Amino acid sequence: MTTREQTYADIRHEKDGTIDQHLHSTQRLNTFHDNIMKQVFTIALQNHENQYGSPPCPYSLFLLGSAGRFEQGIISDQDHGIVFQLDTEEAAGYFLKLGQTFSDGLNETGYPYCEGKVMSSNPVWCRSSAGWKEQIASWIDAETLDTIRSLHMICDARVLHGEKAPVSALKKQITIALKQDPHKLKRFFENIQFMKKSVGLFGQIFTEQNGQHAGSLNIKQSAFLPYVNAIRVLAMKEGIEPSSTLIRMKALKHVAAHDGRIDDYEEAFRTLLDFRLRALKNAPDYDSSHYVNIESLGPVRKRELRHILKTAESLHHYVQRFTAKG
Amino acid sequence: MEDMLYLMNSLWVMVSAILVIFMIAGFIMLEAGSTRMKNAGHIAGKTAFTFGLASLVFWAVGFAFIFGDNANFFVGLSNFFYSGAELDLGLSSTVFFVFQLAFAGIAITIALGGFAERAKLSVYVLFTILFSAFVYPVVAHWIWGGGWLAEHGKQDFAGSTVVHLTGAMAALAATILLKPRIGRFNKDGSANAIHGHNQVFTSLGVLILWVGWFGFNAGSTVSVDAGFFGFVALNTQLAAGAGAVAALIISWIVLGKSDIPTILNGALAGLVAITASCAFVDTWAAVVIGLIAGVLVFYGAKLMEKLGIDDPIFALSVHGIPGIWGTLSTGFFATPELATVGQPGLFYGGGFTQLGVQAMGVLASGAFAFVVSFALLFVIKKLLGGLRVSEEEEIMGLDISEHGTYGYPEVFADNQSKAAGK
Repeated sequence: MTTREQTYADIRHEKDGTIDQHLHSTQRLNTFHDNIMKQVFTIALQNHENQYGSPPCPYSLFLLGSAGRFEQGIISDQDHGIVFQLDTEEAAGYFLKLGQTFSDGLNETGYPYCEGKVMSSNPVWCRSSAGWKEQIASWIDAETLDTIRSLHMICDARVLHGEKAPVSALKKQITIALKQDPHKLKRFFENIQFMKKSVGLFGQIFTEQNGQHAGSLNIKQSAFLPYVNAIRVLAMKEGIEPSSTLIRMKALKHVAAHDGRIDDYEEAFRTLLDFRLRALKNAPDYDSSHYVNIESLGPVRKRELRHILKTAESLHHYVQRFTAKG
Repeated sequence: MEDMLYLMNSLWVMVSAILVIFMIAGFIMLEAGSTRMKNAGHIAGKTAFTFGLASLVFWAVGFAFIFGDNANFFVGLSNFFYSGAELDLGLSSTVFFVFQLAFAGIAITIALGGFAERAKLSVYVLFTILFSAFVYPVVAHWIWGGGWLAEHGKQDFAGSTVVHLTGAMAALAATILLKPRIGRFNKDGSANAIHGHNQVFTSLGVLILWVGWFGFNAGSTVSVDAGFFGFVALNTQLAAGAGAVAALIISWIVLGKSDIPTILNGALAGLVAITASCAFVDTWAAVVIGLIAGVLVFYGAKLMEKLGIDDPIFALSVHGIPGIWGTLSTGFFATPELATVGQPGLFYGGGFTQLGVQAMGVLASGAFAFVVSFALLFVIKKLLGGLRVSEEEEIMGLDISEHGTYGYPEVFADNQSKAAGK
């Protein structure tokens, strides 16, 4: 056995070769993804240190989006950020380059770049603790669609490397703002208000009409996001910090105001997680990994999907009423 | 001879009805041109659709409410689901029906202008039905259907009040409840311009409306008797021209540059104002009425902005304020020879009598249209959980969010694939 250093190519090879063994549960699959991404970061950090020396201060690298929520599918793009302690330009330059190296590494190992540039190679998502605090305050203050969307992103952060406390401080800053000002909570909900209707009056499922996904349903948009977004709003209102939707649901069950309602939503969301693993096992790329061809589903699966979509809609309305009450 | 007159009347009014219906095309061009590309398909399509829907409502109840017998204070109560029965009007009753239907269609189209770029499609559908059944017919009955304002001798020849003010008041209620479009006003209350995407469309829209107005006003003679429609058409043209000229001059003086939307609005304001008075005033008065309307429309738009009201296609400043002015104008300018309804105006020795009637008509009709529209929209808001599309949909545009395709697909090709989640 040689002692040759591990490369991105090795990791990709290992990933592609063994991912099939981790498909029986979303939990298992995400532990696998975490493991891969940690290996990528180790290499990235090593390469970076070789060139620029050791990090000038403590820092935390966190995942966002589905990775942050521990809900990645088989193929997933990358979303991540960095928070570092020292508020200096040198430190900023150092970590931004580290973010770039890590991001390139992820791309090489099969996690495509994020189209929305939510990556630690982007100064918006790579900041000192003080810089983050200031940025979040300005996002809360501006309360535009874009800045609130960024706040939503932060709520899903999960630390992959480094201390948890700096990231948890960012989330607390948001929760406190929502608690202090009911109007902000309303804005927080308004941000996710748009939901593409996917089940019709007669139970028919609305699919894409044109293009390569004609006849398919985008389950990220129609099913995942409604659950994830709605539960996030409820969780943030209660100051629940974990980012996984299932863990948030578990915590919400103890909130008296929801009085037994969460169980049905949780059951449907678990069904959705399994449904995705089964239905999209063979998706060739990230784009296709959101589309389920309705005709290829048997009657049982179709019924299952309809139940998932209808429950999503009911959850959405529930949260709407709940936030309106204040 | 009587047969001949019946046929000639029918033919003239049918031609006029078609002209008025063609005004919907003018509104499509005007509204789409005055708003942004991402909403163009939506605005064009819904305008055609709501005219169709309003027609069915007019046939079912609108016509009966306005012109029916056994009337109560608000509406008449016969000829629901109009069968085409002959009603002895001196022209074919079916032609009269189509002509009146066209007016109801214009009123709802004006009202819906106030909803532009932010209301849900379902709100358009529900409000079209309710407005066409419960708002427009009541005012039309009061003034044209032998209601209490008609008994007072209210002068509104072709509908400055009935059509334009009623529509504008509903638009006002809607703009208040809908609140301004995203980005229209800053936090400190200062206003930003949200420019329309095509001034050529807007101008063409105005010209189509202008041509259609000959049906609207001159057709409102509902007869060819003595060729009087020619005089009405003459006054109409003069007021339109005067409105455009006054608007150009006032914007030039105040802004240092002549503003195209203001000039176009000036022509429309002249037309709106002369609509009430076109059959009752001399030609010189038509010019004065148009000139004043052209100035009013400029300051009207400024006033709306100051009040924090977002009026995307100038429904309030073009149809509301000039509608009021036009209605009052007969109280000043109606001549003894031409005042076949009501009294001569203040400048012709009629005193304040007619002006008082006109003012009462404006107040009562305007207040009714505003209050009822506001109440109806309030109920719709509760029913649908809001009148507005979500912020995200408003930003992506109603073409894609409400209809799934763009009016200008090439321009938005990138967004379209993003909206599809790619």
